[in-house]
Amino acid sequence: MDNLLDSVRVLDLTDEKGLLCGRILGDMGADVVIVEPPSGNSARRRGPFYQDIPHHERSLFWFFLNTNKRSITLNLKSAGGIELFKELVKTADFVIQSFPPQYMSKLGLDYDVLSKLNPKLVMTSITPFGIDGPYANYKGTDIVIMGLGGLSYISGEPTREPIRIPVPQSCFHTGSWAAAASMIAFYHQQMTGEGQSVEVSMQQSATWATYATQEWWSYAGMNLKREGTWRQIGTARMQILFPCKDGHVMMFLIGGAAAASGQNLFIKWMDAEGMCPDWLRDFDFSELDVSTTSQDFFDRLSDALAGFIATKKKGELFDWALQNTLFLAPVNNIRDLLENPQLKARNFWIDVEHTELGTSITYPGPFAVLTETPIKKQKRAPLIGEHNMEIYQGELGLSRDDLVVLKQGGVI
Amino acid sequence: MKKPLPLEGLKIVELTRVAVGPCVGRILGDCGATVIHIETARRPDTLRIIFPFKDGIAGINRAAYFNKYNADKYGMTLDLTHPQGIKVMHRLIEWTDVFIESNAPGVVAKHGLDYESVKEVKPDIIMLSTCQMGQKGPLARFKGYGVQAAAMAGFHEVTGYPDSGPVGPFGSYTDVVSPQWLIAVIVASLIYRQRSGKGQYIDHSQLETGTHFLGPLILDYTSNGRLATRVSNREESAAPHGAYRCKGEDRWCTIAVCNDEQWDAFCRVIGNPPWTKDTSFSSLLQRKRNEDELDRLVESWTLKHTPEEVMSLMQQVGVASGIIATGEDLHNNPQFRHKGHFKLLNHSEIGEVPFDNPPFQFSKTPCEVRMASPCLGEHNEYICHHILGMSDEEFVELIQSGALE
Repeated sequence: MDNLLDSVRVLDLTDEKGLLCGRILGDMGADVVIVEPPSGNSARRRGPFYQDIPHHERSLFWFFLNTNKRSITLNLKSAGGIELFKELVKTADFVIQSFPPQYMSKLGLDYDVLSKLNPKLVMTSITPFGIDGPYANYKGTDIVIMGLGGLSYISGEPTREPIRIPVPQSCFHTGSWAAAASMIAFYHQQMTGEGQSVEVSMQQSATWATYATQEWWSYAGMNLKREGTWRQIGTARMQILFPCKDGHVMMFLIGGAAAASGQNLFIKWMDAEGMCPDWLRDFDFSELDVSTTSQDFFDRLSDALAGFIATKKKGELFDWALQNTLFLAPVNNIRDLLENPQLKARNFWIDVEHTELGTSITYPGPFAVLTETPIKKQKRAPLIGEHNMEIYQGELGLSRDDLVVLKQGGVI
Repeated sequence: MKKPLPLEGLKIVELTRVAVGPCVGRILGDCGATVIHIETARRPDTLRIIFPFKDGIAGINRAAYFNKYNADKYGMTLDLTHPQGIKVMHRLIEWTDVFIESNAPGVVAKHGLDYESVKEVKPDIIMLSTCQMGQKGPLARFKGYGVQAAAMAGFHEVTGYPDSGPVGPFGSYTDVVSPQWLIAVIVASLIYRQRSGKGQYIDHSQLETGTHFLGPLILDYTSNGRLATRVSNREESAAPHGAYRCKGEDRWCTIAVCNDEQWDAFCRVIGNPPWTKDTSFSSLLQRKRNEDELDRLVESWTLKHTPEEVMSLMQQVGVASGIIATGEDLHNNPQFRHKGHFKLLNHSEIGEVPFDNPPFQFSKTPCEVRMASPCLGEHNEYICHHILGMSDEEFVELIQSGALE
């Protein structure tokens, strides 16, 4: 079968900030060539590592973000490296890079230069804050970007520090937004023949990772606060995360007709097991208006629900919720996720061969299921410079002797 | 001369609700596509009826979240259970390049708008269905929102403090993870269609895309057997690394010191107090070993400063640092102002409100959010006249039939 992006060539110069962009394009069938410095891409030094042995060919972080890519090494700080890169640009559709602003200009490889070699080129630049503006030269790591984006302030317990998700979400948001933006620019190129440069900001991408804080301020003049395991609903707060026998579940109560069946039945279930307080026994949730409910009611309700939920396992609560239309879901850990029946039934997980490690590793599978051009099956991330011969010799027509010279000259 | 928009000429019809589907159409609209958002007055979108509302006054056209995800669209109300309504829908399907729907599995089929059926009307259509769990499978019938899908995808279990239960990121997190990928795959499908003449159907599960944002933790489990858990803000390769309390009420900053050079710079900024010379903090390894104590000492300094001061002092010497932004801070952020991230647009009912611009910019086809989100049924007439080419009589008849509800 065809791939969406057959015969599309991407030169990927990014580090962790942008690696997901090329991976998504690769998932869609583009030929993504990751251009690494001879010492290897910095993301190779990021953990976790396979069997906890830190080594540039064992980074699981690197593995995950570089499937379906080919790797060449190239020293862009050498004249020979610049020359070879320019050769590669002539046949490329995309260059994606995440160097600091102006870095590519200093190398003499900015869009103005590259577009003269290849007017159809789409060049995507990923930076923490954008290529200009008061923060342009500021440093932005994930925790900094997520804090500036607005999600951190509202995540966590009210009395404790704001928290982030312990995987660099800002890099993944930005990488996936960069893939979207790059494709849009490529569409224009396909229609008109005109390439262009695309700028993607991590700070702006991170702000798209929440719908809440900017809106509460501009619509209601209020700064939303952290609420821990509770959520503000109307004028009061409602508990949404509950400990159960083997972990936690999330439950969202609603009012009105839609709520009646599941929530009323849940109360009956509690009652059947002798765990429903008298006041709650005949309560009809269809009459509940969550926007005007008192805090006292939610507090009493929480106590009653928490006592019952603590006696059940997340699996049995979820099964019940599915059958009775209750907004309840298990708080899955990674093991639960791997065993999730839905993901199994859809054959989501895929085993990727890592011949050099003598093993295969299970990865998240295709991000969507397409009828005509399935998302490409993952092939393990490349070793450093694994495709030097293939590309320099096979495509650029360099001889073996040339390669020996370039290697010794520190160019590749 | 007015510069072109990159997706000019592209046509999108969406039968979407809540966040993921609408966000996809929103961004495509920002980039120049003509997007028609179909809804019904009989069962308003959840995001039209939840807080926050403009000035605290509840109203179907006043809800912030709906507005955020539906700018740059024409809005139409259509009753798909009405025979005239479904006829209009078929005409829109004939007109469109892309059809996006985000209903529970099976809903569009009930209206004869599943892929097999719409393909009859428009053979090369590109259709996207996005929902929590995907179209098929034992949990496809799961009814819920992104907030539950996020818990199921594993985000809550790993987000929180090491000494207490899961807290999770705020909100329907899988909702904000998926749209970007879907925009990419739709546009790629359009390019493929141009090359091959073939449309296609895209079945998307928000749970599945969600797992990709935890990829490295998943590989750590599948290859090392390690079950990730909560670590607050810690990062293996950096110390200090965290969110620190500052001067003011519930004010916070972040600081990330990633190497020894940055550590020296950090120490200079805070005035080289004696504790920074202590051997417990002399190297990254030492700082990691004594991180609780380190964090306490760092905070004793940040408490004397506003987050803005900390950010500015640290960034001047090359240490990554930022304020932890509130909603108000986002609107006052100097970099956002420079980028024009928030753009005021005049909404038909609630007046001027800010809309987020896309997080990207194009050099030759600049695009930004241009048209505020529609009120319920705001463009019924425009769409019938200008897009479907109906006569006045036809339109009036349609209104009288009750199909536009």
